[in-house]
Amino acid sequence: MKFTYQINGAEHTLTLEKHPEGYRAHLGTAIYDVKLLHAKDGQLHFQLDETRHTAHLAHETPAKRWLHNAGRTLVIEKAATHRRGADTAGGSGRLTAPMPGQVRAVLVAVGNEVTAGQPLLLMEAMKMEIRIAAPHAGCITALHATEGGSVNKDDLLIEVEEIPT
Amino acid sequence: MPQFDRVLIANRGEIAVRLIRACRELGLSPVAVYSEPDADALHVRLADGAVCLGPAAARESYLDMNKVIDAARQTGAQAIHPGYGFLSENAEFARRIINAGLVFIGPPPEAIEAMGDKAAARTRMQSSGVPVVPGAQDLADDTKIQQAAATIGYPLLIKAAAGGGGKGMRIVHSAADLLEGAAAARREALHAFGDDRLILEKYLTDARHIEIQILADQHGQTLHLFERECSVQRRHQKVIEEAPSPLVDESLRAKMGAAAVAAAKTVGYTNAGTVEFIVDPVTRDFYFLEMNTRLQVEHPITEAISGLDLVHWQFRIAAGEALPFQQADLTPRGHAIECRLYAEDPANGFLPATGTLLKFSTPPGPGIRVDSGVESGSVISPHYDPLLAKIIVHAADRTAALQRMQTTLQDTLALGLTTNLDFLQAILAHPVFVAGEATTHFIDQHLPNWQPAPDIPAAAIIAAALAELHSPSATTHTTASPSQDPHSPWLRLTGFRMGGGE
Repeated sequence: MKFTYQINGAEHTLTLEKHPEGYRAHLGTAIYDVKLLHAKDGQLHFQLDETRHTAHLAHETPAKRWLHNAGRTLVIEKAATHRRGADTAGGSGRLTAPMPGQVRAVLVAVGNEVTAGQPLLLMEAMKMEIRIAAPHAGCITALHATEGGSVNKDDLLIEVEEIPT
Repeated sequence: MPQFDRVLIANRGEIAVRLIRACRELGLSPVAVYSEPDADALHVRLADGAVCLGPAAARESYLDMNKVIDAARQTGAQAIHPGYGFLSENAEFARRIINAGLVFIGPPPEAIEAMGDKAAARTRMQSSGVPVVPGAQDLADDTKIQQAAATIGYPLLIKAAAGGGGKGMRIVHSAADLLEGAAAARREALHAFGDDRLILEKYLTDARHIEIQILADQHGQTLHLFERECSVQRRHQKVIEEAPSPLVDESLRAKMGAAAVAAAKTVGYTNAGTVEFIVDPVTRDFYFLEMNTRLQVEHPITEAISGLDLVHWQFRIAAGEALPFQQADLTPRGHAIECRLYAEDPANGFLPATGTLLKFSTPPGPGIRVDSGVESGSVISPHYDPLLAKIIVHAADRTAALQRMQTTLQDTLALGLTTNLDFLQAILAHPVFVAGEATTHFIDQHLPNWQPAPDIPAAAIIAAALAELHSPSATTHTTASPSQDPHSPWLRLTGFRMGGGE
């Protein structure tokens, strides 16, 4: 999984691979073995190689989060998502609004792993609930909708990418 | 305390919270006032009663004397504590409170008046032997101004006689700019204070700002509680304060303390107050700047080294109690530092920041005190001062206090809006500050274009990715606003929001 962030005006790209004990992270030329020890209430406790770290996070918007680590406060913004794979609107992993309405709840965040049929987003249109569910298992790669926002028919809402196994 | 048992706190933010807690400790019932956007503020929730003063604009709420005094009457409060800022140094406000038969927790209105007029205060200080900055007042016309400037020399400072808060203040570097600067200062002073009288003062470029805390009872005893150094400033606003001052030794402390006591006595001062001096770090000559006739923002560092609760003493003095100790009984103990946590962007001209403080916490520990008016979820509006909290540490000596402050700031969380938290750490780590040599130009000279360090720790980037993968439990979301319709089926959905792991 590839993550691209904008921090203090510079772009940082990170790749995480699943690993028996956690993840392997590639950041530039550096490689780290990552083990998540504890995640609760916006607090992450994890191990990079042999060293333990703590980070505190808070979301301002789905794409903008505040992070505190080792005495520093950083604003981390998700860089614009690059389209890969299915590029046509309405492709299997590209979920669009079936009718105009309002986004009532976004149930996932970018990077979440989801299962087939899992509800991802709830819309309200003409007093009706519309549930947008995952067409297949995968990873959420992009969120284009915000809670409370209005959408038109066929607007792109969520992108789900299948994880190659 | 016989005279009053219910006190109206005519302020907001951290100082209102601090005053309310002091009331509780003394068995007094605190009443809050608030403006509309502050309806849910911490100080409102902590008080026994609360009165809405009006809309956000301070002029229509916290600065409206009639509304504040009415609120006291309405709630049965017999005393009013003004805090700092707002109406705290307004002699008319103090007088109206007294005329309404209430107790003003502060000095007599005459003392506020005497110190409020900078020109008159200079004259009075000179006549009682308190050294003032070389300068001149009572300048009737341009010729007088030119004559005075020639005697004082350049650079010099033009100030509004009625002024304060940097309004009507001008630095003039040469005779060529003098009259133009004076005209501008006059216009600004007339606009801000309705009074265009000016004073001239020599501008000391490498000076230290050192102030003396005064405590005076109504029985003739006036004491000083040592000094505070507040040289680290941005735009004439203090950022870090410490006590004792690294520049002041015992003999200078005694001299400055005696001068401050004399200054206070000259105007018949009672209650807590602060006499500000500027000090030449080379000659150690000190000059009276002004007296702040109220509680200071930075009073906690004096409380730490003196062991005295200044707010308690404000109430007790106002209730007529005599100070049970004398100057010889007081000795400073250890070293205290205060950092002001501001919602502002030090990398962008200290522009105030607004928004929601998504997460706020400070570490507990020995020698750590946090005076705060905010909590996680507080909305920081553009209407008032950007001060979020004061972080105060106390330790055996300056080195230990600096270390304690650094670790405290490192473990402080202020997420959701830009603050000066990283900038404060940069100041504390700067060799000039560490050496105790910072002057009032420290920030301009040594950290003029400060930017956050460009290197981003790998752990931070990895943490961001881990948070995305484990989002439901690992990140704090702002809560979605529920549907307005109570019968809406959407209300039930909040229960299974995956992001609901706040």
